[in-house]
Amino acid sequence: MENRLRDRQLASLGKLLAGYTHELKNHLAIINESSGLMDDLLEMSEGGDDKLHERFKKIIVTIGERISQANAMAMYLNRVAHRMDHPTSTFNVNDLLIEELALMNRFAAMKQISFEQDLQEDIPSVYNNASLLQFIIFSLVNELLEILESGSAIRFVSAMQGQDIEIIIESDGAISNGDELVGSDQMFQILDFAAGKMNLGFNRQVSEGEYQKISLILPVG
Amino acid sequence: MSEIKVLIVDDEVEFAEALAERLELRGFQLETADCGRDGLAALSTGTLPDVILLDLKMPDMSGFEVLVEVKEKHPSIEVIMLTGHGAVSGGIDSMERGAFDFIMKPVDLDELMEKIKLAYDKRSSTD
Repeated sequence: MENRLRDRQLASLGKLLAGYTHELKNHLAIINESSGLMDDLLEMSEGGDDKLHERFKKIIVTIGERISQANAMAMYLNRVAHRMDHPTSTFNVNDLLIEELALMNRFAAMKQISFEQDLQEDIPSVYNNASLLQFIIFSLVNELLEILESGSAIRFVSAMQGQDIEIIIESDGAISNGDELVGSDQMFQILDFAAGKMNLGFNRQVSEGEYQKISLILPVG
Repeated sequence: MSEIKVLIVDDEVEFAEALAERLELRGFQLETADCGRDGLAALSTGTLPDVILLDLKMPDMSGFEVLVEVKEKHPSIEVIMLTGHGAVSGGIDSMERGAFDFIMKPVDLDELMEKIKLAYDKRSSTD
């Protein structure tokens, strides 16, 4: 019963997220067109204060840039929510990583930790559980963000290894909060279980207080 | 450009009006309707549009329903779907039901104008 309750809670959150990210895009579309119309009218206006004209132009550009960023966030969140509708689908690992990094960038920025990426371009699409892979990557990165010192970097690599795709998440930063590692044992049991459900190889290397490398092996076939 | 007549059907009135004004400033002839039924009603009075910009999600009738009815009664009118969804699946489904193309909200005006012109060219070539 407990598990079913949690499932229902999760489903309701997914539905809210999917619905409101769609709604958010509608609001962004209205702001986008209104700002665009303001720009058009400004272009058509003759005479007046040139400096004021310039200022308005800059403001309109800023609004446009922020709309693009907010739109990308809404789109990513919408995909995260809808991905849970289907247990398996065809997806591109690089697209999923780019999306994940964009969504987690705020958490990293708050801890002054940077993300770096080195993604092999010709990675083929895979048919697997994208939502579960996203959850595993989120959990791993979230743990790194908890334990790493400010100023660290987390590097994401994707590369073909024979018929498999290898995703490497590694950090060269010092671990500032080793206690968190002890508490993460239970999380890794859950992640091992999740990885088993999607035939995902899972390897984690931790050196004394300094270095973490996590390797995920995803079969293509 | 002035010969291209466009009908926007979208329940987001502020979006439709601002977009209509921007397209008018660029030489298109515009009409708007704020629901599916009014959009269909607009096709039974006055001059027919060349291209319809049709929102996928509306409260009275879905964009899919309006699309099917438009293509049944006026197959030569080209329809471009407007979708706010993160996934492109709604747009692809629309094209399978006869839409010329789809575009994601918020729209890129240059991309939209290009699609309208292509839709108009297709309509002109089949007339």
